[in-house]
Amino acid sequence: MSAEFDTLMAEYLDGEPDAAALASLHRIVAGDAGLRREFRDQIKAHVLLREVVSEAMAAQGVAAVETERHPQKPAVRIPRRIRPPRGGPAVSRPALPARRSRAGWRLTALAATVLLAVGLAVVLQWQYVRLPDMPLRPGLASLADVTGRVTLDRGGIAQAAVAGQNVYSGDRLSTAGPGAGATLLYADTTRLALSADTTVTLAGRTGTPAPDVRLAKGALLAEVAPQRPGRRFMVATRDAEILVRGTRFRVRVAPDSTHVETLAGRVTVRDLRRGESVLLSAGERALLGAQPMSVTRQPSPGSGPAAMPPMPDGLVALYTFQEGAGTIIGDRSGAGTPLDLSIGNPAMARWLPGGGLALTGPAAIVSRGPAAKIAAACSRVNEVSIELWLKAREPFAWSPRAHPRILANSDASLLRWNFELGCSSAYAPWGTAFVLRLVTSAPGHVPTNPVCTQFISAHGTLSAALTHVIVGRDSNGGVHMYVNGRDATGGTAEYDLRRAEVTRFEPHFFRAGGDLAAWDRSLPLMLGTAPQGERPWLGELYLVAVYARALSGEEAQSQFAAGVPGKGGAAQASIELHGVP
Amino acid sequence: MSDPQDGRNEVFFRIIRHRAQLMAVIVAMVRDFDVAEDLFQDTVVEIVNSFPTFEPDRDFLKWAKGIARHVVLHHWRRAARRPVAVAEETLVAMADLLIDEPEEETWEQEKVGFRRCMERLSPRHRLLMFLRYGENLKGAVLAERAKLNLKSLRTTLLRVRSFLRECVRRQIRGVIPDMDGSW
Repeated sequence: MSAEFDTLMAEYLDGEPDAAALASLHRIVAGDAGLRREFRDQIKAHVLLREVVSEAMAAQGVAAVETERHPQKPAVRIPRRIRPPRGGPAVSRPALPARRSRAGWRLTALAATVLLAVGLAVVLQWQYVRLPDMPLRPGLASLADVTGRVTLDRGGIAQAAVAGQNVYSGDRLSTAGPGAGATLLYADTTRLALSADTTVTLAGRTGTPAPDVRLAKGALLAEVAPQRPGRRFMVATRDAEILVRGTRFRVRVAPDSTHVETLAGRVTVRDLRRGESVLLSAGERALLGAQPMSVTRQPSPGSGPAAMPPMPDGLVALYTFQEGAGTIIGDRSGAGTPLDLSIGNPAMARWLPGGGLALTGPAAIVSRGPAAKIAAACSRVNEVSIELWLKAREPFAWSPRAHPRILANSDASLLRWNFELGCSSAYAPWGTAFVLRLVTSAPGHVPTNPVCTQFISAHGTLSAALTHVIVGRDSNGGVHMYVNGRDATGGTAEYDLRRAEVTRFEPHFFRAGGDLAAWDRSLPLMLGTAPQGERPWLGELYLVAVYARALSGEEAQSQFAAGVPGKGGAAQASIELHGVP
Repeated sequence: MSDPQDGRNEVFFRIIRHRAQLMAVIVAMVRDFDVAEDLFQDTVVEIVNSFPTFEPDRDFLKWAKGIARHVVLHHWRRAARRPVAVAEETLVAMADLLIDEPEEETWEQEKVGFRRCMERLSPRHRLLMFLRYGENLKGAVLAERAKLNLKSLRTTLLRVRSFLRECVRRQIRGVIPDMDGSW
């Protein structure tokens, strides 16, 4: 490689080359196929490094909001682990004068500490005392997602709203037409999901009784982050004020009434016509209008465990996709702390009427914390089962190196996992099938082992029809797969990661020996794809459950016969979901 | 009848899958990440709006790269941010080198590789990468923050990128069996 190319390329990537330098670079690149390739590779590395570093910074909690509030601070906080060691080569810190005495240095350090403390006090005073009196800051909320016709009216001028756009106090947002919707994201992570044919006006978040949002028509789902002491988030309608400290609820404005439903926590609802207030708990609904306010104490269908038919024992996580809006998929298992899932890319997920979630792209659905309760419960009994009601989307055009995961207890890079259930079309002529990988202490089931064991369901068990699946492992190492209530044992494949090929395939299931003691409790639960959008699975999900127990063949039959929870038996489910018996 | 929402999602899915490739074309022309990311948003809108005219038997990525190129040209002309004429022609020609090259499906693999190889850098070099690629600093400002003179800065950046690319190449060659392909 020529030195001239290196110099010009460095100037091109990291400097400000003049026209002559650009022309020279282009001349030598255009005339040499090897340098053309090198040019392309360097641009590729340049762009990928930007993505990798940006993601790493985002993952380490670099908050743009903080930068906005403290413009005097560096734009990005450098992660602790890459800071130069104390006393080591200071890269970004000014070097101290070499002859400064130790006592002088200490004095300087003390003075700096005092100044820092005073500065911090001033900043905190400004942030927590002055801020409530300030008008809405630009960019306090942004449009995280826009679907269909969404209009932003600012000062009487209406324009099409765009995802990523900031919104301001006084802005009016309207969604129009079926399927239209928008998600507003506040700096404190509060989210408002606007349904179709909805109009809201944003007000200043001043900490006074003024509403944060005024809902004129339509419906919204609010996921309100915990508010500062003394502050409550308020949604106002013609009939009511809804105040929360941090919870989930939805509000719908009809021509002559307002409906409020609490999905989690508690919500205060004030009847503006009569001045009376009620406290709604999870699952309760209030109806306000010309008539006195009425409260329905029964949980709404699908809003809590009471709406579910009995599930088999050992349930540790359950998702029934009844939310209907928003970006949170609630864990309905009632086991331990709920392991709710968050939809990172709502544009790629669509709630289905009557329950269910359609994944149309890499929706990046990940649990809001590690799935420790799953790992702990399963490793305690050395058993696990996964149950799904799903409908895969055709065509099944997965490349051999990018098979999608439906459900994974795995890290973001998909390089560490406890279990992964996906699908594959790589085992021709096996056809499309479910594929299970499990970590146990036995060779062949350890992520670092170069030969990986995979369990493949029977030929043709994966189709575009509504399908019920149960896969699992018992404490003796036996692996089971049931599809639509029937045994779906296919085969076991041994895949050599170094050679990238299947080295052995037997048409029966091997034992997954050892135990589950090594299951990693720090791994999250992921649905459909990894957060980076790798290997997306496309289709519809109606139920996902994880059990710390091996379900039997009889239980698989009865679960299939029971159908999708809340929709009756399997035949009934077919009618409801597809419109045909 | 096909669902327009499905079509819209399909095009978003394709754009997300090829985000880095599209960014490469834009970066090759404007050579600044912040500007490029703004123009990428415009490119997404343009691709979605033009998608109904896309012929399915055409190469989607090449078509989308052409739109990205057009968006940058439009940006230069609209906002009077046009580089001098000679440079503009050259920058477009550089971008064309990327548009015309056949694509390999290794971008995702390489991205995972860069993520892992970044961990192998010394703290000082990792800091330099964070300043250059996270804060988008370059030139004299970056040199000052990194306490390097301009010449050393260019050399160091070249050397670090070269190390990272070699590290990624080794991973893809299968020395480290963690790149995918497991099933």
